[in-house]
Amino acid sequence: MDRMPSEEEVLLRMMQGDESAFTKIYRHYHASLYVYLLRFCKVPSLAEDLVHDVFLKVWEIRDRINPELSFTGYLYRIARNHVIKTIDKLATDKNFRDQLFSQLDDVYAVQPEQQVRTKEYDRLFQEALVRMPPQRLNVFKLCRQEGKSYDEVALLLGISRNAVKKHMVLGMRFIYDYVHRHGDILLAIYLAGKIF
Amino acid sequence: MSLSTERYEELLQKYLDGQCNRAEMEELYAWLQSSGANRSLLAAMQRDFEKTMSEHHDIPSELSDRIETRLLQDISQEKVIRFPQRARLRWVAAAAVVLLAGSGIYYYMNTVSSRKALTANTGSLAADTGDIAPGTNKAVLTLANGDVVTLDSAGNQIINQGETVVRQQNGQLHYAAQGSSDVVTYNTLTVPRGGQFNIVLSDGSHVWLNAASSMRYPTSFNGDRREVEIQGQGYFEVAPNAGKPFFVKANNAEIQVLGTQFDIMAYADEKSINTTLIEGLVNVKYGKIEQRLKPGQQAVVDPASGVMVVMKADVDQVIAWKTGFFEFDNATMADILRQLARWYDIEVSYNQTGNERLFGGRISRSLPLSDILHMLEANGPTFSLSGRKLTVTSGK
Repeated sequence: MDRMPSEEEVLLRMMQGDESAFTKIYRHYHASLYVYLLRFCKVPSLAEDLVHDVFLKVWEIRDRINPELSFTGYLYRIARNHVIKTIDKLATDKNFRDQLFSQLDDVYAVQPEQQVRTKEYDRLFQEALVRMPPQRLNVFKLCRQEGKSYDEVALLLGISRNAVKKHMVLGMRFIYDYVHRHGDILLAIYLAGKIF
Repeated sequence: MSLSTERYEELLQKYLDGQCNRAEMEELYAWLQSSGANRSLLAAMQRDFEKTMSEHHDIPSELSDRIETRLLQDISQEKVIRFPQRARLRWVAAAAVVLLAGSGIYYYMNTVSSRKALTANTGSLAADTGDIAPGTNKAVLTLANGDVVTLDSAGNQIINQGETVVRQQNGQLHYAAQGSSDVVTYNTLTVPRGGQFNIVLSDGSHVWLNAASSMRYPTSFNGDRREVEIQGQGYFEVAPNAGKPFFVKANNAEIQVLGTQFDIMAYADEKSINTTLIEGLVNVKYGKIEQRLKPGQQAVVDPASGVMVVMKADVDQVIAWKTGFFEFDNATMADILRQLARWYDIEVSYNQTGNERLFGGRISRSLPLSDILHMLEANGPTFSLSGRKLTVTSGK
C-alpha cells in the first residue's frame, strides 16, 4: 500500500496525541488490515475485534513510533502478534474453536444479504445525521467529511479542542446507537454474534 | 501419520484462501502448535501482509464506523489505565471496588476494605449518619388464598399451603416437588425496592429476583408446559425437561427456554426488555417477531417501536447484580440513578442539563449509598440526600 499523503506529518501529530491524526491513519489502513486479518482468523466479528485491538495498540505505542519509517512496518508487527495469539488460542482452546466453526456457518448464511445491508446502513446513517444537534453535526462534518484536524475545527467554530473531541465521540456513538435502535432485523442479526 | 512440511504449507495456503473444511482446519491448527510450523506461519504472514496492503480494499462503511466509534471512545479516555478489553473485566472483578468514571479514570478505592469493615462492625453506622444502607434479602410471598407472608434474610420457616410445602431458608424460598394434582394454584413472590430474593421452583428451576421485581408461578407444574410471569429483573437457571418446555412472560415478550441460564430485565421504567442468554438456548418472542439467541447474545425489545434487536451482550455486566455488583458501560447518569433508586430504595430527582456524560465501571452493591455517591461526585455531579430523597445536580 502506498504511504498515505503527508504520512510523516500525520504520524507526528498522532505522536503528540492528536486523535484526528489517528483516525486519518485508521481510515487509510484499516480496510486492508481487516481483509488481512480475516484471511487468518476467518470470522468477520473476530477480524473486527482484531482491527480494533491492533489500532488501539498503535495508539498506545504512538510515542515510540519513528515517523520517518514506514508505518506499515509497525502495523505488520502489531498485527502479526495478534494473529499469532489468535491462532494459538484456536489451536489450544476447543471451546473457542467450536465458536469459530459455528460462526463460520452463520457467515455463509448471511453473505447474500450484504448488499441490502449496506444500503440500509447508509440510509440510517443519513437519518441519524439529521437528528444530531446542529453544533455536533457541524463538528462531525468538518472533522469526518472534510478531514480537518480537531485543532482546525476548534479554531473555525470558536470552541475548545476538548469540545470538538467530545462532539466527535458522542456523534459517532449517537450514530451507532441510532443504527442499532432503528436498524431492521437483518442488520441486527448481522451485528449480533460476536465471538468473544 | 504426519504430513510433510510442504503438504502443511499447501494446507495453510488453502486455509488462507478459505478453501479448508472443518477437519482440515483442525488439522492445520494442531500443526501450527508444533515448533516446526513457526517459520512457515511467519513466512505466510509476511507474504500475505505485503500483498494485501499493496491492494486496494473496500469494506462496508457500517463496519468501518463501528470500529472507529469504539476506538474513538477508547482513546478519548485520556488518562485511563488501559487493559485489553477482554481481560479488563476479569481484572476489575478482582479488585474490591473500582469505578471508571466519565473522564475515563479508574478510581482505586484503597480505603474501601477498611471502610467496609467499619460499617460491618457498627452495624447502625449507616443509620446514625443519615446514610442509606444497601438492599438486603427480603420479599413478600402472596399465597393462592391471598394470604401474605413476609420474608427476610433471617427467616427460616415452613409455610404450609394445602398440599404444597414451601420452605424459607434465609434469602431463599424452596418449593418441594410433589405428586401431580389437578388443581393449579399460583403464588406470587414480590421483591420490594431495596431487596433481592431467590427461589427454587417445584421443578428444581432456580430464579434470582432483583430489587423491585416480582414473579407469578404455579406451586407445581402440571400441564405440558411450565410457565411463569415476571416483572422487573430475574436470572433463571431452568431445570432441563424436554417434555415440558419452560416459558417466561415479561410484559408482552415471551421467552421460550430450550436450555439453562439467562437473565431477563423488564422493568417498566427502563427503555427496553432485555433477554440475555448465558448458557443454552432460548427463543424470544415479541408480537410477531421471534429470535433465537445463542449464548452471549442479548435480545433487546423496544416496546415503543416493537423493534427487537439481537446483539452481543456483555454478560458480566448483565448479571453483575446477581454477583453483588453494579456494572456500567457507557451509562448515562439517569441509567445509573434508576439502578440506585431500586437497590437503595430512594427517590431521585434529577434534571439533566448540558452535555451528557457517560460512565463506566464496576462497584460493589454491598456498600452504603454514600460511598457510591462520593465516587460519582468526583466526576461532576453533586448530590444532596434528605431522608430517602436524593437530589442530583449535574456538574460542569
